[in-house]
Amino acid sequence: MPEGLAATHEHASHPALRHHFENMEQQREAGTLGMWVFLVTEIMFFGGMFLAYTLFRYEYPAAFVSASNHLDIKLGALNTGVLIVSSFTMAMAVYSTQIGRQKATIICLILTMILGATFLGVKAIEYHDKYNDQLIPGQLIPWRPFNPEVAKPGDTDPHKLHLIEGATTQNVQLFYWIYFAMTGMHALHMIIGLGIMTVILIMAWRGKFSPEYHAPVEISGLYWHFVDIIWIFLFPLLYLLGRHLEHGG
Amino acid sequence: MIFLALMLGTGLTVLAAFYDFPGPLNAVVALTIACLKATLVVLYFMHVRYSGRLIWLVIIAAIFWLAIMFAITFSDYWTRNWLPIS
Repeated sequence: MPEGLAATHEHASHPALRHHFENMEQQREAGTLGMWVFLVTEIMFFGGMFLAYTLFRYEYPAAFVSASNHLDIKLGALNTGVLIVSSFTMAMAVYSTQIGRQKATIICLILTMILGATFLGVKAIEYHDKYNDQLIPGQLIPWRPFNPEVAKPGDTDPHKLHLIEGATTQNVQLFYWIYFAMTGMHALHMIIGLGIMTVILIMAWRGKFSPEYHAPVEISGLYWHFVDIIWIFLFPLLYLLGRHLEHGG
Repeated sequence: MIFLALMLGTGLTVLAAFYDFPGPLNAVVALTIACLKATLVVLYFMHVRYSGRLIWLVIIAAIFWLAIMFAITFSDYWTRNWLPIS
């Protein structure tokens, strides 16, 4: 990145240029690097939870398959699609600021936020389903502890837990601990992402961004894409474990 | 715009994951598709393909640290029954 330190232009500095940077390009690169280093800490943070999931999944495969099959795959797939489209609209928002189209930027940011809120809404529906089926683990909800109804052989009630050979209710609860920890932490990151997008939207509305200065949009985009990537891994691991057993196998 | 192509591609791969393969291949296929999708998002949506070497280094460092965390933890848990309990 030679232009960062070597470029010295003699011109009136951009109002958004902070004094400790030589020029806008260096400032943008520093900001981007900072966000990436933060994302690395987030990768390790979620990585620890993925590690816990992997260990317990191989320890209790039957329970994990039974619990995974109980999750609504349609809602999970819908959420995956929603987030991928939201990453696309986010990328379009960044592109729009790069070419200086303020209106397009605002529309793309609003679309991204609507899709993010849609994701959270679908998650709320899923969590509510778990509440109804008494699958929220431990005593997280003190008046509705983990106590799912186990289906007898031949019973096809979708609200009951269908245990396959070797699965115990206790180990299914372990799956749901991990499910709620990971999707809950992910949803928290979505909420924070919506907050960040609100700030960026307000800045865009006030015309703060231009082809010369749009680093905040880029950097917020990095955060948003990261949250999408986490979900891209969460979905197959949590929802698609034992689907081959469902199709009459 | 390549973005549209990427988006459609990822949408289709979600559907592809519904057609299940018997046995342990399932997890391999699902994770491979997830890694491919994540790679596309990182390279194109996050502009890493066009970024400087320092950003690449940071990402490779993350993958490296994840790898050793997983590898060393697995080497503990998955070798526990190799020795008899004394």
